[in-house]
Amino acid sequence: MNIVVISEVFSLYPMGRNDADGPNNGQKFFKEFIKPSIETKEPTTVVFDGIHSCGSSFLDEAFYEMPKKLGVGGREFNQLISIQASGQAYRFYKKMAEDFMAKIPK
Amino acid sequence: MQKMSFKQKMQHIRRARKFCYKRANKPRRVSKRLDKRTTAMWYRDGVWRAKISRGAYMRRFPEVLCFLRNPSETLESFDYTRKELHRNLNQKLWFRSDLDPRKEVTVNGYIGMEQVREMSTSAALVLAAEYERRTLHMEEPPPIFDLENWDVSLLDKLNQIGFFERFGYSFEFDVGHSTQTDVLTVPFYSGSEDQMEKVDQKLLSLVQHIDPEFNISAEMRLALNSAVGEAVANTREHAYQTTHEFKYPHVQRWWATGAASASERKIVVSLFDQGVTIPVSYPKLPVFAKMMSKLSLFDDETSTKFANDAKLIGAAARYGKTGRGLLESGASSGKDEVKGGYGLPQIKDAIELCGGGSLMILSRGGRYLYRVDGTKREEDFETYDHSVGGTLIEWTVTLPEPGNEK
Repeated sequence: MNIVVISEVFSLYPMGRNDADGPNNGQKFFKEFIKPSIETKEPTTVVFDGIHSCGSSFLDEAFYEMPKKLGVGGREFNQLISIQASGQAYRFYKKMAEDFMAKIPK
Repeated sequence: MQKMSFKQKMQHIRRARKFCYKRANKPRRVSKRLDKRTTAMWYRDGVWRAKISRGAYMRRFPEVLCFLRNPSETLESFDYTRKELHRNLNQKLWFRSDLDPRKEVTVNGYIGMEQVREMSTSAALVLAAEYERRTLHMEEPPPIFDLENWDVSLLDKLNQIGFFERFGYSFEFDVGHSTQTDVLTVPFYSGSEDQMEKVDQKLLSLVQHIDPEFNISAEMRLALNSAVGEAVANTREHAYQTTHEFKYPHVQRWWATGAASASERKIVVSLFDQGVTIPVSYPKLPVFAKMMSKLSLFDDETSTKFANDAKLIGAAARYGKTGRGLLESGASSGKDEVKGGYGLPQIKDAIELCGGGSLMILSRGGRYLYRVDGTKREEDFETYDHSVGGTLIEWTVTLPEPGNEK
């Protein structure tokens, strides 16, 4: 089981969709941390706690648009990728990411 | 004489009211008896003597420039400023390049700010953004007049947001100590991409100003930073649409600033863009047609051209880009869950995640206010005759008293 703590391995400020929006974008996060897990079929938990900002476009790109583009089925993606968050504000963004993940076609 | 119907009478009354309003608000012509004929002008890194021409127009700004306390007059004043700044779109210089500094420069009018006693941080940001847009389209900043007669609080506010420094107006003044130590305003900054680290640092400096011992909770920090980031992302994705014909040329930027009052333990963060505005972009979303049938959005009363703006902002803040919560059944209801759609609802939810405060969204001619105080939630919708020239979002949060932190 892989554990990806965004604030430690990626950025304290994950925002935006692609490089045009800034360096810590959703596409980059997907390519560096989620795509390898999907390829090796290794379950991965993404930890939101500790980040200082989060945007819906980042979550949309990393947890919906990119997996859809890669052709990963929603069921498979949801089985492999899970999200962990403890504080209220973090849970808010966890729910948002899970909503995006639920939209990926099966 | 034929007797007028009730409808005709009402039409006459409305027309008369409109005429009186227009006459009362007409820019005053400079009178030879009442107004001085010369004034000081800050321009091209120096101070010039400006001679006011005989047919000049002078517009005086109201005492209070604030979108909460005096929205109508503030919007009207800024609308006028925008028009004046964009009079000659093709010119690159305000005056000839070979002006003689020993001679008076003749001007055809200027905006008088000597009556202004109070300017809110958001109002200062909008004014600065208008000046920056024009400066970026020209080769020099616009001239500014009569600074020595401006109120110290106005000078201090503009100085704190970095207005004078940014446009090269060198003017020294003495500010009272009480204001200086109580309120900290971080200089306005502009950008075209997400700059969350910068936003976060500015936010921390505001918290430090209120209480150096205070440790901002992870919740509040995440909520406020994310709300600003979300607003910036909205600007990037929707504000500067290439299909829209802009009345004034834009520079594809957003502007932000913040202020903290130590005595009130209050933080205000403002973000402004000069894009298409929510009342223009929201009805273009595919989901809007479906929403129209479920919402009674439009007023029959169409007395102003922006009549429905506040309601459209309110709908965007509640249901976001997806119409979630209105079109989909079983919308979540937990406090930590996403209640509305994506986009503006996150900006609104930041106030809840911070544990209380208020949010103001001013877009084109509409103003939407959302206040959270404990379990009480209030919404307020207002529409005005003048546009803010884009979208302004202002968050106000109060830090808990020492010992009451979560």
